[in-house]
Amino acid sequence: MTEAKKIRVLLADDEAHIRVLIRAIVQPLNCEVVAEATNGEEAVALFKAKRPDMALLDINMPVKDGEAALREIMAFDPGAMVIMLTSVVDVGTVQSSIDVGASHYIRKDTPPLQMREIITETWKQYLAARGGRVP
Amino acid sequence: MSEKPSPGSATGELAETRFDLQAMLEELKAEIEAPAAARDVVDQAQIAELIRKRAPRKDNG
Repeated sequence: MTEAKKIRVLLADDEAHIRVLIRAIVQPLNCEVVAEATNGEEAVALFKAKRPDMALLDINMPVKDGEAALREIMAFDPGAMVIMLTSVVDVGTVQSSIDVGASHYIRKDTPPLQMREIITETWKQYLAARGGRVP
Repeated sequence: MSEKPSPGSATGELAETRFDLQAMLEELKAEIEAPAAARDVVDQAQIAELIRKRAPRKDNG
């Protein structure tokens, strides 16, 4: 991620220590965490309010789960870049998230360095699909 | 027989046995379902493969 402009990121996870971990993982990738949500409903509201370049969503969250939040975000902005970052790893949930429009899906037990590689690669593909422009 | 069976009585034991059986059935059900659930779990490499196979998004540009 070599762009000078910081990539504005929304994090959504109900566990504070996981948000701290994810923040530590994305910050070296030229990312700025502009919003943190503790449930899916907050995630959708913050996405609409902040219009981040990238959203990282957990699935198991109170009030509204990550799958429902993903659907609402993609309905609001079909070009949104959303990466699911979760412990829910059954093939049905993974496939359904991809079908709805998740750009990638990362298991929470993935080593941080590999998470960074996946996020970087997914961001590059996202930019390439848009001619290098951030929407 | 509308009274609750007292613990230690024959009726109480029968009620406890029924409860244990129910717990045992739940355990067996979980054991039977667990391998099926394990088969459905995907690792990061399989997720990457699912991502590659997905239909191109129509919102590009």
